[in-house]
Amino acid sequence: MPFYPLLEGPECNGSVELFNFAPNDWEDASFRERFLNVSWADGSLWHSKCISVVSPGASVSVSRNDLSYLPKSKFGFLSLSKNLLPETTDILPSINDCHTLVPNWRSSLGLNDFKGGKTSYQGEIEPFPQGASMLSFSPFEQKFKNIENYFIFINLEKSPLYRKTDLKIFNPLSMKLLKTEIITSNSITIINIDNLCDLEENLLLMASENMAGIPLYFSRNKITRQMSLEHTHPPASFAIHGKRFAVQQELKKIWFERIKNTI
Amino acid sequence: MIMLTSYNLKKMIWSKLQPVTYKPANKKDVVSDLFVWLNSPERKTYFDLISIYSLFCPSKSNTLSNFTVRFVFFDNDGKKFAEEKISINSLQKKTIDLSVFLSKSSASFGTFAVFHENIPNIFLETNSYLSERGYVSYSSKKDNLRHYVHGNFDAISINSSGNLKMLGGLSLFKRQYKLQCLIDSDAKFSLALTNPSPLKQRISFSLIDSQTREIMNRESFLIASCGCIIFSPKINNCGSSFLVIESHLVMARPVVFKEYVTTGNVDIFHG
Repeated sequence: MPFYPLLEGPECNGSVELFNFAPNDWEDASFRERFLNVSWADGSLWHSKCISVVSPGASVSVSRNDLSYLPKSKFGFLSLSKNLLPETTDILPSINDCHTLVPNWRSSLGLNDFKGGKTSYQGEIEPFPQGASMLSFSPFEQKFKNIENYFIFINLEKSPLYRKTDLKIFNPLSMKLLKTEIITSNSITIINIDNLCDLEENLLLMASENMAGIPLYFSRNKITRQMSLEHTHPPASFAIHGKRFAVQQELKKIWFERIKNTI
Repeated sequence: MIMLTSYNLKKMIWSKLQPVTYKPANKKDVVSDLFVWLNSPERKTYFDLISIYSLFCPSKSNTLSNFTVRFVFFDNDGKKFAEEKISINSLQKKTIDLSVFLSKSSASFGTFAVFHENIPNIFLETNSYLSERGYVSYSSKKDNLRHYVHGNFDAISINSSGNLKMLGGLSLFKRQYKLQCLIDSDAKFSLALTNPSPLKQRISFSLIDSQTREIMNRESFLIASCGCIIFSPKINNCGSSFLVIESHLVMARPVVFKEYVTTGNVDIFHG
C-alpha cells in the first residue's frame, strides 16, 4: 500500500515521478490501467482526487505546482490504484495494489529548488502506527561555507487527525538537548539544523517517542544550488537475519531511557 | 482455497528459495554493504563512520572510547588492493576521505566494505549479524557540497580470521530490475552496479523507449564477484527511456549518478 509524498523543502517545490509497472518482473504480474490520485488530510477527513489515468507500463511526473486544488498548507501524497478512491473518508484509503518487496514499488521523490537545483531519492511511504517512535542518528550535517542543512520529517498515519508531539535533538555523546520542535502527524516538518553541533565530529540524535516518520536530511549550497537528500536507515538496518526488530527495540529502549534520565 | 497458479509457484520459489542475502558462515561474523567508490580529478568519495557498538552500549563506551573498524578496498574487477584499520571515538562520526587509500589502485572506481570489530551482545542473542549499510558521500571538484547515498545491500561478511564471504543471492532464472527513474536526455547518467554474489555475473542493461516501449539500446557486461561496473547510457536528444537490468542477481539495484546538462546540477541516489 505505498503512497508517494510530494516533498516540501525550503525554497523548493516537490515532485514525484511514478511508474505504472513493478520494479521487478516476478512479484506483481498485473499490467493494467491505474488511477493516479492525490490525497491529503484536513484534520478530520481524508480527501482524495483522481488526477489522471495512467496506461499500463507508463510513467507520469507530477509537480505540486500542477495541483492547484491541493491546499497550500497541506501535505499531499500520490498513489496508484486499480479502483477510484472515494472523495472523502475518515480513515486513510487502503490501496491493495502496487505491492512488491524486492524492492518496494518506489518512485522518484524530488525537491526542485526555485533557483534551479534538483535532488531526489527513490522512496515511498506507508502509514505509521500511532504512538510508534522514531530514532535517527545523523551524520549528515555539512559544516562548510555556504552550506545550509535541514531535517525534514515526514509522517503519515491512518487517522486524518493532526496530532502534535515533541521532536528532541541531542548531541548523543554529551546528551545535551540542542533543540525541541513540535512535529505534526500527516505533515512534513522542516527544521533548520545548522550550527547545532560545535564540532564536525558531532552526531545529531533525533528522537520522537510518540511519532514515527521518515527522517530526511537535506543540504544545499546557497550559491551553486547543488543539493543532497538522504534519509537515515531505521535502526533494524544495523542487523541482518535473526530477530532484527528485537535489535531495533533494544536500541530504542536504551536511548529513550537515556533521554528520560537526561530531561 | 488458494489457487496455485504457475505465477504463484514461481513467486514462492523465487522469494523463499532464492533469498536476497545469504547468512554469513559464523555467528560472530560481521556484514557490510559493497559500497561504490569513485576516484578521479572530478570526483572524490567519503564515508561517514560511526561506531555501531557505541550506539548499543553508550555507557560502556565512555570507558572504551576507541573502536576499530576495518575498511577493505576492491578495484572494479573485485581484486582487493588495500585494507586499513581506522579507529573511531564513541558516539561521534568520522568522515573518511577515501582518496588517501584509493591512490593504491590504478582503477578510477571500485567497491569497498566496512567491517566493525566490536559486536554488541544483542546481535548474538537475537541470532542477527551486525551490518554496516551507512553513508557514502561524493563531492565534485566544482563544489564543496557532498551528495549522500546510503547503503543498499548486506553484501559481504568477514570472519575473525579475516576471510571474506559474498552474501548476494543468485537466481536460477534471470530476473529483471526496472529502475523507477526515467532516463531522459536533459541529464547525463552513470549507473554503478556491484556484484555481491560469489560468482562472475553477466548483466544486461536495456533502454526501453518510454513512448513506443521498443528496446532502443541493449548492452551487456561481465562483473567480477565483488566488482563493479559503471554503465553510461546513450540516449537520443529528445527521448526518455526506462532502464531494465537483467541478470541472475536477485536484486540488481544500481547507484545512479545524474548530472543535468544545462545546470551541471548533480543528483545521486540509489535505485
